[in-house]
Amino acid sequence: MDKLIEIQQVNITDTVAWALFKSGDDQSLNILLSRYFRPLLHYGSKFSKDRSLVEDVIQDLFLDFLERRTHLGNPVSIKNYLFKCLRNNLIRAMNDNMVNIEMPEKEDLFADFENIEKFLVSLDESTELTSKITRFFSFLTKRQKEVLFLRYYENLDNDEIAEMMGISKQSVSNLLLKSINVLRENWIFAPFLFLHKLLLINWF
Amino acid sequence: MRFFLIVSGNQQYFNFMNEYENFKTIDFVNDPGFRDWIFHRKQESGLFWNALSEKHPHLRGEMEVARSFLLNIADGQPAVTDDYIEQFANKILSKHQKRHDRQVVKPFWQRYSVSTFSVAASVLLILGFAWFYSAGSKFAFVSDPETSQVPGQGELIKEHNNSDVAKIISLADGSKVTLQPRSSLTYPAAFDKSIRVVRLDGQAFFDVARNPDQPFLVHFNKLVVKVLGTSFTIRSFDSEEKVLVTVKTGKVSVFDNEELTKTKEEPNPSLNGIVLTANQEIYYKKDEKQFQKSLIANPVIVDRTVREEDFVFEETPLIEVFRKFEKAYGIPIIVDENQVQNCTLTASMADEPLIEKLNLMCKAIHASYEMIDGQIVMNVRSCRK
Repeated sequence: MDKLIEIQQVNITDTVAWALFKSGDDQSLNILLSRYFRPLLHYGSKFSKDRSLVEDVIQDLFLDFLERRTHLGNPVSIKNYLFKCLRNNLIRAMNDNMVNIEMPEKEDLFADFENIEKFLVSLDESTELTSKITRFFSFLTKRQKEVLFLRYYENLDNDEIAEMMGISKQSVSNLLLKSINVLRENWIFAPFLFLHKLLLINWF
Repeated sequence: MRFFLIVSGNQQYFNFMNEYENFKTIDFVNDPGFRDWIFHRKQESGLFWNALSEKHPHLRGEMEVARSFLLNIADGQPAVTDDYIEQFANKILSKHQKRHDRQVVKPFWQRYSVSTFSVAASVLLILGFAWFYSAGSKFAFVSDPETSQVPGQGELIKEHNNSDVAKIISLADGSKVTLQPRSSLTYPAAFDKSIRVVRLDGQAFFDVARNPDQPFLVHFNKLVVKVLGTSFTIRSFDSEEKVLVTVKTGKVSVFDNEELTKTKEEPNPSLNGIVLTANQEIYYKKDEKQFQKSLIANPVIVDRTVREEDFVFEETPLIEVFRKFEKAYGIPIIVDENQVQNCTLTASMADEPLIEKLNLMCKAIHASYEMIDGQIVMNVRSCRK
């Protein structure tokens, strides 16, 4: 047992840390949190800007792990497992929390189209390129931002993202495509040309 | 990885850059190396991307849009210190502990119906008598004379680990005890203001919260360990002839119980005990009442600021080398400083165990060493410049 504690933290893989945690070693909680507290907070911020809520959910998540530590499974990727747990619990907590109730987001094509149209209308020729991008992001849905984050910041592949968000792989590619298409064909450089194009695509 | 090419700085590197000539914003976003640079700001990759925009100025606009796109994706990165995370982890552990302490167990007669109760009661009664008579003499009450050594406020708690996995106990002062199977720990619900005392039977790892004003004492067998704030293991089973104390970090003093009673009579007694530092352990043979101090089999680096790469020496004065070892492993190295005045060492020792490092070093400087009393004594022939 003491041997376990003395193993240098750096040499421990996630899987070993997880196994130690299950076997009753508390030091491994420090290891897991030192690796994943920041990523979890970061991911959580894509759902709620209320950091203390996200921290509470992370805390409850690990308290729950401690409670049933001997019955925990052996996930292939500890990181993905933690992310998925956080996602589920955070969404549940936000639904329970009356203050945080928001209008459900429309996810259909039309909503996306509406958003992008609003975005384009909000621009004028003098807007700087980088602030155009920032404004573009403010028109993306939470799910689109989440997919972008998982794909490009956390380097997950579409299969992993689909598993984490509980949607099909096809939906993941659709969400991704819609979000990055703005970068293709220089739409961002010539928004009004793009608006015209988009109208054509959708109406015919 | 592509960034190795930068080091060579040859034609190949420039040819490689040409691959990027027709890159569009979307291609930069899809390039893992580019993302890594934007998100993690690694210096070596910065060299490459900056050089690329120098060579192909027409890419600058595309790179700028890609950069801004990626930064928007990474938005919301939390600023959190390592200390904060450690506190967060400790908070979780103590909450978990409290939740278990507070768990109110309903009296059993409320949990079961009368009929189950009456059947169970008669069975229990019979079993109870049988057990009491068979185990009678071994039955240890908390008011046992041994535990009268444990002062404190509130009632004494005796935890016995009957399971086959280690059990973690958090004490009122924040210290943590990892109690091994077949072991028990007696401690007060709240510690005395001037001293923290617990009693151990069996084996446990102690991680003691530092408080110089309130020494921490562990009674076990006929010995006492006294610390201010360190981590160490005690192994003391009644069935075994020897008692073992192993120090992981900090300093630990071990006394005979009789010695400690002196402190009550004299204000500043000279105690006949032994001081252990990190990576040392003692054996105490119960029948001989003899302490034997030695290094643990595989000393580990205890100073967190020292890394394996630090054991690379180039014409380093030998005395500095020894000081580095002392600092890293917390083990005293005894050496005649005049003898090694002119000696230097050039060696690269990375992740070998301490013993191997010492052997390597001795080979290089034609020296020898002995381990005496938990210390390393170096014999070095003088060096001439």
